[in-house]
Amino acid sequence: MSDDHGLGSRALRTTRALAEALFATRDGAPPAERIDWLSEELDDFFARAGTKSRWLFLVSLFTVSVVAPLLVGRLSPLRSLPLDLRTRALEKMERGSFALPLLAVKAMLCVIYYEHPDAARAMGFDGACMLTSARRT
Amino acid sequence: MTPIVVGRTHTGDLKVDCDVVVVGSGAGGAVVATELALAGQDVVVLEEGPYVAPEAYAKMRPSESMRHLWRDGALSFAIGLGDTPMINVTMGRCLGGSSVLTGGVCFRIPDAVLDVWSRVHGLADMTPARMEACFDAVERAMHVEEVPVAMRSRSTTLFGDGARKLGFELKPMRRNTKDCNGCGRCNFGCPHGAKQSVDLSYLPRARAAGARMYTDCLVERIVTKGDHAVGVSGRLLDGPRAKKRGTLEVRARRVVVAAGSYHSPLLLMRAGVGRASGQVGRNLTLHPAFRVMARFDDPVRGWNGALQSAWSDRFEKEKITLTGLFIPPGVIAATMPGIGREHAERAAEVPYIALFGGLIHDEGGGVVRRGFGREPIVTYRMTREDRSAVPRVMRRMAEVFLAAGAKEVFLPVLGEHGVDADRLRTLDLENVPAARIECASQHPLGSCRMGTSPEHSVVNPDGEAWDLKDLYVADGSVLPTSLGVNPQVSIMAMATRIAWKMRERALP
Repeated sequence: MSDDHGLGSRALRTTRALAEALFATRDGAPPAERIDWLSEELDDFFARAGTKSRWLFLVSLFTVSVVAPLLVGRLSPLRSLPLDLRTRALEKMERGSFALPLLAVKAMLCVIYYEHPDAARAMGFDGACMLTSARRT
Repeated sequence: MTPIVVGRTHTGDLKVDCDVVVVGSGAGGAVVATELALAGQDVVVLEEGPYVAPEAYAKMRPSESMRHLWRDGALSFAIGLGDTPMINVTMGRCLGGSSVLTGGVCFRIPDAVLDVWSRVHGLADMTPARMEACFDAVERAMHVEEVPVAMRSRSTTLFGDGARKLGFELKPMRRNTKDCNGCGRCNFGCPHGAKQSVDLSYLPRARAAGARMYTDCLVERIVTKGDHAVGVSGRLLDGPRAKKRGTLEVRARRVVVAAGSYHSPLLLMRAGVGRASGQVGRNLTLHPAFRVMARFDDPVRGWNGALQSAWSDRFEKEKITLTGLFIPPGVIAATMPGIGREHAERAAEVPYIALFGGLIHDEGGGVVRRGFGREPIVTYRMTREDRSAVPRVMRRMAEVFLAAGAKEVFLPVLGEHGVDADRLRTLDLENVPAARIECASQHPLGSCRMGTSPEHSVVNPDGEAWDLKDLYVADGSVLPTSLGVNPQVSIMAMATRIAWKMRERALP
């Protein structure tokens, strides 16, 4: 893993799969462009945020990716489950005793995801001074 | 004005001589550095974090601020022991420290707390009258003013309406702001330069008086000679992950540690301070804090208005202080239950959400220990009395919002959906396991506490370590107890007092 990367490709693939389920609407997963942006931002976040927080996130992500499929009777990794099954697995995890690692991952994804202007707009958020950025959106 | 030397662009090793080296540039370090530089002493300030100019952090989104200005991306924790929840403890790591990231809230040390310090802890100087000059100096330098009622967010106004129906009024908050327009994101770095954090109010004055500032400098050791501190050593940091680079060596006639309650004790431990008493790193208090959200029928848009504008001490006897605040919409969405479609529906309700916070005036129970690498391992065990306040603080805030007409309230309990008035009455909050409770802290204090005997404290009433001469501690870690209110001004007033005491004594 180089200095420019925070999470590594496997973790990013799992994160994408999780984000697609978490932010799915009745129309399905969010646009790929928005998930790409989220992945890039998350990677940049953990390239800078410190070793401890990166490992905390990775351990939480690993726990979610292993435990959630078991809750819907599957042994395969979370990222290989179809979208509706991924959603069900995460719902079950959120209501169970493994909610904390899911909250950790969900919190990070939500903080960044809703900073995307389109996601913020869809939510009805219009607080201009939180949407300015030193980076591109 | 002296330039700020950015450590990551400095080539080779760094060797500096000075009168006083200050480790840390936050609320404590900035004040000491300024007061001593103004007195003509040759001061060097070392900051582990980067220098981010106000015009740069002004443009950052919250998550960018978290990755550039906050320690560990705002993901530091205290491990809860026994029936204590895990606590997310947030701190700054940049020039200006946590001061850049506060809501700007300014409270003096409450008289009742000073009374305990002076009578029970024997700190005879710590009376409201004797601290007055320190508070005045800080409040003048930081431009402390009351937040007008007109600047309150609708979220805070609704909470105030509920409070009035239950028989109490919110009090206006005081903050260190100048020309604030109430855009509600002070805690990610003020976007307008209105919040007078120490990078704007103190450090420029220190630099004008000749203080030299170095960022990206990790201090690893206090250098000693006999029973005196004579400098510090460490490394210059580089790259996004702050890798170690050249060495850092500062020789000084006095050393001031102001690295905060998590990191100051680590430096002292490495120097052998407090070995006999075992007090270094103990007595940590956190002000465990909880937020309650409420959904209303009409839009609230709680992000419009001052982030923190009102508070209440109505439940002071229950060890609870209520303070207005707001958090980024993404964080609100994250803490609401649901995945996929349910999450999307909940997220669409964010503009209808109001929010208020409550903190516990805790008795302590935290311990800072050396960990692997640079960061400490911190544990925290709530006393029985503090733990019993947790369900009370949630219930009190929920009742206020329901009195204001909220349709449902969201408690900081993992997996708990919205709660209406009937459900709140029957909810067994007292028996919710700690693992399901969300808890945060922005106020770690007390891990190198001040006192009148080396057996029970780390520094003497002047802020000097009991067992290492010319080593001073001047940050939140010296506070003998928690405060029950936001500690920014208290830390700065204590640092002012310590700096004035240092000025009275000739340099060694």
